[in-house]
Amino acid sequence: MKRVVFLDDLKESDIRPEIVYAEYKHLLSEDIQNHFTDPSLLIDIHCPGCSNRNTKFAFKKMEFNFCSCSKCGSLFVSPRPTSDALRSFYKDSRAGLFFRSTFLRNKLEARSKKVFSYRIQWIMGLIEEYLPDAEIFLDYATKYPNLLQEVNNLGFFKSIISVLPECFEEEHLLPENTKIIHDNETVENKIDIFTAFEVAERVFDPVKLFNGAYHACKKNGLFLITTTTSSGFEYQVLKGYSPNLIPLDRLNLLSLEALTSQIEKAGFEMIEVSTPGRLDVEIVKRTYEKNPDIPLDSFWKYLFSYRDENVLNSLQKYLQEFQLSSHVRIAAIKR
Amino acid sequence: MKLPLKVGIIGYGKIGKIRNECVKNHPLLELIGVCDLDPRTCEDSGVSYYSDYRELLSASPDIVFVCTYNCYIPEISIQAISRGIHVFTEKPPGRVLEDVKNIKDAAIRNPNVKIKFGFNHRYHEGINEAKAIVERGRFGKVMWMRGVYGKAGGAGYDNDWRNNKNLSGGGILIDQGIHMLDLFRYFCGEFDEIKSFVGRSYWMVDVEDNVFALLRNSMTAQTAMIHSSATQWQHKFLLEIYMEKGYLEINGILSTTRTYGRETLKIAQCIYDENGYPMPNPQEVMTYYDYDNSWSAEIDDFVECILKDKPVSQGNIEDAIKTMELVQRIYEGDDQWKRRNCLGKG
Repeated sequence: MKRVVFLDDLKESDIRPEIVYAEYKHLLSEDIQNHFTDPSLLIDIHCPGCSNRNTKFAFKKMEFNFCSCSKCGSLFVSPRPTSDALRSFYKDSRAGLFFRSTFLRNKLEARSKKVFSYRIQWIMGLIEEYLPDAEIFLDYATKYPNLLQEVNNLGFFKSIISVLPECFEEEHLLPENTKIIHDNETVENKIDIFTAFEVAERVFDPVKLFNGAYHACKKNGLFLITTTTSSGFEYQVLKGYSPNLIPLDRLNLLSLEALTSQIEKAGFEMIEVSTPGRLDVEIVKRTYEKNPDIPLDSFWKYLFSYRDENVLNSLQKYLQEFQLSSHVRIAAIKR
Repeated sequence: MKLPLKVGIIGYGKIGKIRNECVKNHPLLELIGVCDLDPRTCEDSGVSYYSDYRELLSASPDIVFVCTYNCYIPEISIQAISRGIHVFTEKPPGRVLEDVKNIKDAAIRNPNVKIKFGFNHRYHEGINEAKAIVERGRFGKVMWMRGVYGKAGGAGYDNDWRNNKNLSGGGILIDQGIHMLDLFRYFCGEFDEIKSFVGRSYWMVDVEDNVFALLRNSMTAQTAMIHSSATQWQHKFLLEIYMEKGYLEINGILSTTRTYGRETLKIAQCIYDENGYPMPNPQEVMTYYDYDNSWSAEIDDFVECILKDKPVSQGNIEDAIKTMELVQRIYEGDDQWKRRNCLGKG
């Protein structure tokens, strides 16, 4: 088992342009009020990380309740929209449209440089070490056509499949040889590399995603996932005050333990569990600076008020090194 | 072949006991006997004790692990090979190159016997990942490598058998530095030019405690530099592999003592300016490894070679000979050391 640390200088503004993100959250807030006034569209769920029924209310955001699990520490929205209601919301809401068109497009350039290159290196490294004959690549709920373009440019794959359970206006930007499907349930024992980047936190049932990935992968196939975890510094410190903890985009924040356990229960063997996030400390600091009244422990207030960038950078590196950042990446293999 | 394979361990000190743990955890292996000059060390083995290795060989094990002082390795290995017993021997594969050549001669006479040498560093996860990157050519050709492998000696180091030349054949280089030389070959192939400084800086022993050497392949110009030290007060393992389009650094190695730090692999790809010149300090990704599976992975590999009758591809007799050649040439490459220690033909 291994874990990675990224030694670079990514800033939040690189991947979430502030003005655009604020606009997105504004639309989201309005849309939620318009779409989910009918309680019958919402259902209570058990913990998506461990099925525990013993969960408690944590805080409310944009009319949705976030609950925390007493057993595995996951954080999740319950009651939540049904799977169909979610799909329809992502497809038809103004926020959904804005997310797919403006927000993602604004993120693309920085992502290409700073995030995609790491993902491509990640994919290449795993192929080199575990699957030199990989041929079939599947990406679940593709958001970034550029990434698939770069995957295609690697020249490893005979076939690239993009699963698009939701509407995606940028289909035309996908590589020409991409096969688009809307559901991976019929794909069985075929896939060499199954990727799910930033998806597990916004699907109705993340365990179903993991099981589906296992079902789809062939023997020695790899499952690569990036997501957000409740175990990370940003959410542990800020809790409901985190500016990124917004319902529907963050329906499920599984704890690191729940996440790894569920992927293993699906049948995979872990190769890598990393939290290579580089933004926790910056986000917590900025949130505190914008709102000094939030209930932070005095240690953090002291740190952010009196200590310099070097200390904060070292803290972020420490969080990465010991799997305490909020951004997770996992590679697992189907033996 | 009847399963489980019967195993004997000859030399039941620290390494012999580690090997026993691997045997215990392997479903296809069964320990039938251990041999050591000191019966007390074998009391906890739970199997038959032999004071003479020949008696253990007569018990017809399928495999023997030779974990003795270096001076006994050739004789025991050759005896076992001659009886058709598969042999796993620790590194170094003897005291001098001649020892390994003799083992090879025995192997040629007994082609059905599998022989493997304990270059377990090849099985570390960080090394595996680095090897995959180098092999697939992601960053182009290896240009140079720099390796530091050093320890502080330790309690009783000056009286350790490893520093008794009659028992060991040499000092820190043949004991520990040999792993680094093996890795140089693993990543880069063979070297034909060698410059070296071999010395004794601190320890009052009759072998070297520091070696600096440069190795070059005169055809490809690929160069490697090693520092093997018994005065590295802060234990260190560092292997840097620089290629045309990027670099790898393996820092720390998971060991039984855990004193060489956490095993990490740094990977970086070159970035270029608008004119195509490489810019300094590219982004790096650091990978941390948590478990040392090298010992068991090495045994798994050996058992598979035996059961499937596959040639031993890692740590085979050719690896042992080529690596011992480097050791010998490094010792002989320092004229002063050579004169003082009456090495070589003269």
